[in-house]
Amino acid sequence: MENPRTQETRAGWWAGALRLSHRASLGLLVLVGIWLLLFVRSPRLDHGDRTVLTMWQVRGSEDVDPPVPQWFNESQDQVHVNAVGLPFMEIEQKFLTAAVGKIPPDLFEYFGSVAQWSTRGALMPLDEFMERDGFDRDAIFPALWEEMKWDGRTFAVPTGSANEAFYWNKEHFRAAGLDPERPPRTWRELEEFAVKLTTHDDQGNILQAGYIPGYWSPFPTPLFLNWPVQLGARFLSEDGTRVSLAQPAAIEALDWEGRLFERLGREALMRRRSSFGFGPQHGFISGQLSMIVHKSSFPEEIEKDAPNLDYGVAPLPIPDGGRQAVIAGSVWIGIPAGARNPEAAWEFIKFYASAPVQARNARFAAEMDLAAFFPANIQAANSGFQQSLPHMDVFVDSMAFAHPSTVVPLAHTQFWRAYQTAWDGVMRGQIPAKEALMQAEREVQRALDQQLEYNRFYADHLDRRETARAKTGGK
Amino acid sequence: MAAHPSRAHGLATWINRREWLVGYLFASPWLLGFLIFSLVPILLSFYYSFCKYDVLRPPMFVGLDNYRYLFMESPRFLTAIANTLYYTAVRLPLMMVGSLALAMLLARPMPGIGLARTIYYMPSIVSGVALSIIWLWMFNPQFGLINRSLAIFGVPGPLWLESPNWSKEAIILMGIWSLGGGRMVVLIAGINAIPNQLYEAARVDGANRWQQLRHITLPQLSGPLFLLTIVEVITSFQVFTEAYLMTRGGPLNSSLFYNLELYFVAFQDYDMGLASAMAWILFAATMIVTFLLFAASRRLVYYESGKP
Repeated sequence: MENPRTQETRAGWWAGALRLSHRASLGLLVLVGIWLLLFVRSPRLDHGDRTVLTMWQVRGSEDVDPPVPQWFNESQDQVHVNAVGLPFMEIEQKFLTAAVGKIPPDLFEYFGSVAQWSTRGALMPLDEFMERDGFDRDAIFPALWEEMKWDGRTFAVPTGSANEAFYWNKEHFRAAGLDPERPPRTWRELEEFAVKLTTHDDQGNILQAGYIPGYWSPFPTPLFLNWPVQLGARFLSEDGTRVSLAQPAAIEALDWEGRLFERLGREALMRRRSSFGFGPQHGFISGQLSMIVHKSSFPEEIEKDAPNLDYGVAPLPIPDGGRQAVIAGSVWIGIPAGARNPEAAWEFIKFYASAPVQARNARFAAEMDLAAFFPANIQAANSGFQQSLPHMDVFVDSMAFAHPSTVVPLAHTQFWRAYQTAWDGVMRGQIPAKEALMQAEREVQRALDQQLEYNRFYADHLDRRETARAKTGGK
Repeated sequence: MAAHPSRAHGLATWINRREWLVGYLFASPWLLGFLIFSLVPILLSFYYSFCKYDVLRPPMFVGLDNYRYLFMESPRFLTAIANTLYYTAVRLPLMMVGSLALAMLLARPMPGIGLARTIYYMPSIVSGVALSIIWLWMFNPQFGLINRSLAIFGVPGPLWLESPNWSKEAIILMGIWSLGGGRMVVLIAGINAIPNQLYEAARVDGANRWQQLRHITLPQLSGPLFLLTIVEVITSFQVFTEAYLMTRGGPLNSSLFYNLELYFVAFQDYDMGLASAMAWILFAATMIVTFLLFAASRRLVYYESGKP
């Protein structure tokens, strides 16, 4: 009588286990379902029959909603654009994850290097749309287009511009016996004025700094490409395979900055620099620094933290035998590869890039004190949006001689890191400019070589996939 | 009525198996999570360490090239290792002596001792980000509290985070201040567990304070001290937040620690293959050091039960 009972209990056990695992797996399924509902597809509001697009962009918690999607949604009844703001610290990784998971947003607005995404197949080329609709490229500052391109194709459209200029404190100029309306026009004058404007206490500490090479914000990221570009430096060969950092123009510029740093008192200057902070504690805003190279968004910061500061803005001083040049960046918008509604997304991009919308957006931004960028559209940039923002005409005019900030598209981050290390070493007098730049060049060249090899591998991979698809499609 | 032995055995396995299954079912969310989100990525990262991989495109196999580059060519990798070893070597003894001294001071029952312990412990529960921002101001060369205090005695303070010669020391100082309290709590528990008779017997035999410390407190504390040594080494190997927020590895890569460089390679350059190789090297190094510490502990650590 033993065996059957054991069998029975065995069967009961299995049944129980099955029931249990059945229930458990059902519960798990429900959980996963809820999770999917919550996270994978963001809840969509009802917009009737409209095609709903999601746009990702950088937005801080205190920023207001961007007006352009709203204007677009009001302008027609086919498409609804939903703008989602993401923190700067997260947006790159989120976009990367979404792109790999093949659920990218329909539109991606970002600043920083387009190449980071275009060279790795994360953005869709827009040339066909542009050709078809007769998109007027010339309406946008030419300097900005170069960064939008990769391998002969265009991957994004600039929607805003930013560049740099020279700021000086007029009161300091007066106190030092300089003409407050005349900024230094050459490197030599900059050096001369900087020495005149620097004051010390009796222990040798700097009280008022005339100029601090590279300093523009408390972040240790100097602005350093303007000077070599003024001397005609080109950092990448025509065919994009050879990096040349240790070239005469770059060496001369870096060497000059290093000598200037030393002349103004290296240690004391660093001590002074590190006492500057953010906002009202910024060196120039707090009136402890007389001259600075800073971005086009700086007047607004000054307006906010030191509205009574008496200052001027002019193009950068130029070297003997050099030419006027400045580094420009942009905010751009693109359509991620694999987005489901490129047609509708392209309609929005055209709307965004048009002169009236750009001008209206700039006026809105100026009123709301949000003007980190000025229009990428030339007509809109000259439309007088800047009335409430003094000095903006200097930046708009400077676009005529602007250069892109991405100089080695395939090794952008490596370039900046290597160049910054070289720059810092020279400023501290630890290494001669030429040697520092040669080290940096080796590092960037190695990164570039590897990227080129990876690109070839990826092109082959796409070819193989294409062939495989053609074969199975032929059957 | 005695149960048949085999039947009793059958029942036992039946209950056992059922419990076994239910146990695993209950643990399954964690198990699945571990398998899918930890084990698979860990194994994949080992494969990626032999590849060029930027997440967006498929990995390209490059053999040992990442490892070769790190040891033979990279201008930063060896610097990062040297910085991290220096950080560990300087911080470990300072932290051990500091927290032990603190623990011995605060182990005695005194009025207000709870408050004192709380105050010393508090920095360990403050987020590293907030601490870094505060210490950024403490270390400010011109207006910071530290250099201002030094100036009172006529000592010109260094540039701290702005100086390649002082940035590591600054971060070590901050680490000891912020984590010493947590280490102290462990040691206080250890000190209070030492039987009082040992001290009484020693005093009867005429042992002085130093001899008591040397021959009773330290041997009796060898267990907690060993634990803290391992924790210290591992956390020092992983130092990241302070350098990321305060110096970004600068000036001149003087505070470029291993994990910071790993972060830059992974999340700025998106060179996940190289970053994976770095992660596995760090893993191997941590394993080896921990193993060596355990080997050494056989001679140095006292266990009351007679075995570890």
